[in-house]
Amino acid sequence: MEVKLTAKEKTVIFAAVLGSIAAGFMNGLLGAGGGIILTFVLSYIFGGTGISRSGLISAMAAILPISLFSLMTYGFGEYFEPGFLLSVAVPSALGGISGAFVGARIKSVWLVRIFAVLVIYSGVRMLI
Amino acid sequence: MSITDMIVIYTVALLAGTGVGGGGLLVIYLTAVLSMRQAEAQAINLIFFIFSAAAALPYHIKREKIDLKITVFCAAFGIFGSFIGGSFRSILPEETVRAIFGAMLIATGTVSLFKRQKEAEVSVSADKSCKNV
Repeated sequence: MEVKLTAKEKTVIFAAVLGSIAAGFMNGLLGAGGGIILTFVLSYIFGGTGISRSGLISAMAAILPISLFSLMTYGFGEYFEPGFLLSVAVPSALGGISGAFVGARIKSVWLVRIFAVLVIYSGVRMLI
Repeated sequence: MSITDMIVIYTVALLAGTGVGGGGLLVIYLTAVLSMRQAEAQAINLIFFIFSAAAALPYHIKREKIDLKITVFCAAFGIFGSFIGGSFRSILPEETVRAIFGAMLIATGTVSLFKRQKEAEVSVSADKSCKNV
């Protein structure tokens, strides 16, 4: 049985494949940055323009296994001892839960602007 | 990790959990303040992200449904991409990876700035149109 796809469906599949590979590539190469690519890709797939909340949450879910596999490409050296791992994992998990709770209750426009300027400044410092 | 380092990790995770962002900030702290190598900082950033996202995700999913089929589809191709990225990292000099990371930060920051400004404009115009009704 032949399945005929519309031009729009073909574009969506192409965007999903290419965008996901690009997001994974960034995560493997830099250990970060894949999430923002996937957020745009998934928001587009879900039919929105710009960034949608469902795109953001789906990207977070998709980037989790990608990050696990990216981590495998780094190997497990001295920095991955159980004690060290716990000292990173516990504050990360607590911060993640607090952030999800707080994020649903505050307007973060100014926080994002400060964060964005800080990130751009850090990027420039890294390049110089 | 000292108590100060753990407080920094908690704060960055809190930012990431709100949806503001956080990708890369921890790498900057680990390389600039703790003088870690770029590759080690990136690996720790991945561990940080895995735990903070895994903790925040159940709360978000309760409020927003996700399409599991599309998510798994994207994750599968993303895993393939991560191996290609990992292979590139192992052959590229650390300075080059650091420069690419810097460029990625500038791009991420610019996108975040533009994205939120657009949302703010939308909400302002929506408020105005509500007042006009």
